[in-house]
Amino acid sequence: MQRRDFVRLAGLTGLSLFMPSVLGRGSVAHADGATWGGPFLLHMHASGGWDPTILCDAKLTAGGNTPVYENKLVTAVQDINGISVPTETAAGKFLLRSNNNPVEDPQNFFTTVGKDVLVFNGVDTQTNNHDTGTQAGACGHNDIELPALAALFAGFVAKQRDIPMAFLASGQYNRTGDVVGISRFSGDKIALLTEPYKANPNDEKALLSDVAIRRMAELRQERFGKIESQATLPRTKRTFGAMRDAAKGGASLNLLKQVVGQTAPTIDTFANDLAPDTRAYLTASQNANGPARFIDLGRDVEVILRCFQAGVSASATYAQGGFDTHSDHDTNQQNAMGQFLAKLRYVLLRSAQMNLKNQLYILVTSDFGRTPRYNTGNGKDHWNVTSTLLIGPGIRGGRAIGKTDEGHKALRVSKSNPSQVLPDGDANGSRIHQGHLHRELRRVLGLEQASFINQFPLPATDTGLPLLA
Amino acid sequence: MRRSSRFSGLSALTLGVLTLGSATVAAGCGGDDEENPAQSKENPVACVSTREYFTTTVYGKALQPCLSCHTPGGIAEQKGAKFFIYRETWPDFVTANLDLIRDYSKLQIDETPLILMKPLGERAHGGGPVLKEDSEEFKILNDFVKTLRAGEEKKCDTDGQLGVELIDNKTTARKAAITLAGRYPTDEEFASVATDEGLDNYVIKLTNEELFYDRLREIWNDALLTDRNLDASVGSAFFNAPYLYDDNYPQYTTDIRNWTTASLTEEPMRYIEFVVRNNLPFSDIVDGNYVVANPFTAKTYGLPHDAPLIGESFLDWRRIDYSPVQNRQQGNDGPMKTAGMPVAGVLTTPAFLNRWETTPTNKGRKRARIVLKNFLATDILKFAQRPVDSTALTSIQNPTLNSPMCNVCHSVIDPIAGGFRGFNENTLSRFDADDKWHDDMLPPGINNADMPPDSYGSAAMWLGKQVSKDRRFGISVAQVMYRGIVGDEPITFPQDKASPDYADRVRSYNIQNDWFVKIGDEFAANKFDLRKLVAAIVKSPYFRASKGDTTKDALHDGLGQGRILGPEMLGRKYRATTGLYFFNGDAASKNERRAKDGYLVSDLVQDANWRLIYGGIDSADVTKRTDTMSPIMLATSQYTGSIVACKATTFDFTKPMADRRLFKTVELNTTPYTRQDKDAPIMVVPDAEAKIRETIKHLFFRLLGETVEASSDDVTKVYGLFVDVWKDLEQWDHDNPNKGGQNLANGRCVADVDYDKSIHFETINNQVRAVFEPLAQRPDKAPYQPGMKLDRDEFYTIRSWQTVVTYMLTDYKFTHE
Repeated sequence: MQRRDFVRLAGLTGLSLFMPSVLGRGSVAHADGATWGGPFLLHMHASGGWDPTILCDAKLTAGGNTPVYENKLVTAVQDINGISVPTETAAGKFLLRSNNNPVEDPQNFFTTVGKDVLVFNGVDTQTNNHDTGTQAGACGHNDIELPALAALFAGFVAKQRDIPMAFLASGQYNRTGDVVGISRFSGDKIALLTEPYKANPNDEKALLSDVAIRRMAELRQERFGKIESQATLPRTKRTFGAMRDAAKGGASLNLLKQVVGQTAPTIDTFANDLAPDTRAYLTASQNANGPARFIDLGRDVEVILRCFQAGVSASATYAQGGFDTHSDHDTNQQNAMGQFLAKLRYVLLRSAQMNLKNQLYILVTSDFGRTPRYNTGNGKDHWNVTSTLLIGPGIRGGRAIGKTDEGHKALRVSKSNPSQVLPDGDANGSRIHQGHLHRELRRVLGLEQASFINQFPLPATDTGLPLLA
Repeated sequence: MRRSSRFSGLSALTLGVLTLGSATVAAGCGGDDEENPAQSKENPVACVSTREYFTTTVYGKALQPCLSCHTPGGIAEQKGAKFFIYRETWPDFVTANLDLIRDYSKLQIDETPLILMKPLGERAHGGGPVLKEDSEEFKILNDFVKTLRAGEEKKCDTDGQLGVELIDNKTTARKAAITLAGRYPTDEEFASVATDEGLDNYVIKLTNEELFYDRLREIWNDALLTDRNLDASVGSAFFNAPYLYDDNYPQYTTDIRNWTTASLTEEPMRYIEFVVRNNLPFSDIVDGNYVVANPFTAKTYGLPHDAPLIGESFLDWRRIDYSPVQNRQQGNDGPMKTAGMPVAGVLTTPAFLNRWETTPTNKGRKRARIVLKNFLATDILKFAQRPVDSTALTSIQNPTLNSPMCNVCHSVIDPIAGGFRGFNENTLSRFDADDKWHDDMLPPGINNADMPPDSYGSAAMWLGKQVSKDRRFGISVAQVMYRGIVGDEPITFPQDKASPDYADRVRSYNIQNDWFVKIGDEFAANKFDLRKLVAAIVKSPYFRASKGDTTKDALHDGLGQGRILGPEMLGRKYRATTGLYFFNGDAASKNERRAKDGYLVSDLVQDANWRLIYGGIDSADVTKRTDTMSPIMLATSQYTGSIVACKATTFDFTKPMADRRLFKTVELNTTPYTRQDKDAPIMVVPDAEAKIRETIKHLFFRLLGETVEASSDDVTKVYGLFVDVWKDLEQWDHDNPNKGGQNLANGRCVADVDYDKSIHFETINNQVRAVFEPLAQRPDKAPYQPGMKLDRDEFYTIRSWQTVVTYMLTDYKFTHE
């Protein structure tokens, strides 16, 4: 092989030069085996415990001298196929505001871009603890730190495809159970990694000769075999196994160039799909030469979507904080919720632009909910009842499963037909737990076929609720 | 009822380390042959100690129904029950529970132990019947109580035995030096560790070195996460020197503000460093009634410090004995008041208080959780884990105080939260001694002991003293240091009782837990000497185990080499082994925080993006390190390793052979082959192969920690790599003369300065740049002499060795230790 040809091959195969398994097959780019075309999973988490009663399970202040539910903000709600959204305040139309600026409109969201969202109301997280609630939303188990659903899915994909960043971890709970490695997309460094053995992708020459690179790869293959045969203790087995798996994922690392080099979308492509009352604010720039606010809000999730589009990632977690509103709840919760919902809108719109929408599952969770009544600081504290959102191919959205009463207490759903709401305490029903939902999601994502799935059982109690049947 | 810690002394514990051979031999029992509940029925040969039987079977199975009520602070205790069981979240819960049950078993009515009557619902058991007399659980309990009452407790020869091989002292010394102090041992130091005592002394020596303090701060920041940019404006809570953050004051400068921000942010970690650096009891980090301040924090707090407010003063951290931090506050309409603020180690630093902020409803509980986790070895989030249903509590007034569902945890955490009383909720660093604590919480205290009211004005100081006196403090510090040094979480008590390897998992947990208790106690007995604690961890199988029985993964949990090095550690390992950090720009920068380290730059340490991409943390959004390799991390290690190899290979050859780190038996002209003249075929150079093999052998140990023979298959393979690369380069140059075949691979690989010599700074193009001592110019066609600039590879050996070094720097055993 000529030197120039080999360098070109290096550029194509990226880390495959490191990877004995890829080289061993004698292939070149492995377009089929080195990228993933979907489905994809994005888990978005509202960190701190959101208040679904200003989003999808809206309530008005209940009657009585000591009302079971207090809402000093919302004065009217609308039922949209079982999804209760806030619509009015004493001052006019209800909008989620940040510093009094309108950022999102739940009513508009659930009737336009979010019309396919499946809402689970009355989800009983069984905890008031941030960490436990975050864990349960991510993995479906309150007591045992199972791998996050996104990690399980990425691990499942990584067993089939050697993709370099199968699991993008930007969320709060990213345990993997060693079924897949964690990848983070940080700053401008990725561009440097797209060319093997070059100090800079623009350098004409690599740091090593072609022969050196090829012989190293061959030797590495033998070395991997030797180390594996000598690994007798769990830590060695675990960390070496991860490195061996990681080595398989390098073949398409050069595809990251596509992620790095892409230009940001313009606000014009989104403007018509923003809620009319928020359009002026979101299309304006924060700074004179900066991007429009909506583009800025979507910056983090844009990277995730690009990685999906490039086929280098299968799943991602993302978290936004600001929801732990123990004081001045109405102001602070609106601020966090507005930004979060705008990001979800961005994901839905942008994934459609990228032709990903039909391949993208989006799970939206929070630690738990907020208490029905205000505390002395006008805040709302931790409440184990919350809502969860789900969007994805084959998911019948535009409706709500589960319900809460006027005091935001969870009602049950029928075990045989979860669309049917039953009183709390009815033996024919069950409260919805995150474990129920995760059991269904594992099924929908095909994870029951994953070789490792039996190592990570969901709570035995959370069975028999066909939420996604 | 006030409860005291019910620890009792552990029996002498040895973390048995057997050779593989002996591990496979069934260890004999010390007891007799009569049937004993502590005897495995499935395998009558295996010995099961009373302690192990209690953990796996009595606690793990029979007592589980009791745990819902009979835990410390649980429903039973609240109703006056005297019997309780420590959960596994309590360190040394096995010893504590055995002591309790042993005592409780002596209580009897008509010769029937009360402990056997209560669970059947007899003798007014508040929980009614919870076990049936014919149940397996009751039989287990019944047999066990009989054993205890008869004094037939059993020990086994295999107690505490893990049955693994360890790396030898020399390899341990290498690993400790690289991972703790970022350097490589000298030959004399290797010789000094032939004995275990020598190894201990060597590890302690390492803990006195500059880079160890970097590692120490990293380890504790991983736990406390305070390194999260605290803005200088926090000084407004003190109002002693507003020019530090307010540009309305003439003394204000951006530099001063930035250094104040950095100082306030780093204060907790610098406090910890100061305590260790000055050989103070490590307990000072929670109960030290002095401030550790540099001039920026001292001015913020209104304390004396005579160093000027310039960057060079940043590292001038001094102990300022308790003269209260001046907390000046403007009343609503009143005059400015000055009040003293209590000082309790890191607990009262603004960085800690702000990182673990409080709110009107959180009421200091987040701070208490961190105190429990890191200083009392108690993860409150795993304490009495069970479903919580707030919606069922709406009829209970103040459920955290009054509902058993809530107060099982809140009775532990809330009093500790009260230790932070006085620190204002909204302005987090402002302190008001007269602040009223929350009437709806238990009063401030710890372990069911109330804080004396006369300590309310300095609650944190009282709390700190109680924490450091608690036996769990030593264990907790040991666990934090273990996480940092070994790289794993402590083993948790297994939950899956149906698992076939449950007994092994329990045994593994017990052995490690007992070890934590032992080294924690020794740490306390050694007046909280952290250096000795580090030595104890390094000596343990958790740091040193290298081989074991591959079918015993459950027993060997937490053991094995191959801990992934985080970005900071990998960065330091590059320099420790090759002489150079990974850097892409300047090799050094005028960073006064790094002054003691010679201003050298490691991009993997100082560049936040590299840190994050390589699995590090930012203490805010990313708080847990990645503990296994991902593809992008692998790509990163390949990138950084190949750049280090390029620079370090050339640089090493600029030194006389005796001073080199890497190439100790070869010269630039040590080639495997040569040509008599340009038209002749290549021919073997006598002795060259032996020299090259010796260098490869040296690299195997230095870079990878592997001891190999020069004639081994491992060395032969790498020798083959060297030769193949050399031949290719030589042949190309032979076939294409004067076409650049003797150039280095890349301009970055040229060695033109001596990185080992001290640097000075010059202003170049308005930028302060580090200037290293240049290497001597090499006269044209002059033979190369050490100390000269090296920018050519006329013997093709530099690039060949660069390949070998790159290969090793990207090996599993380089990126893992």
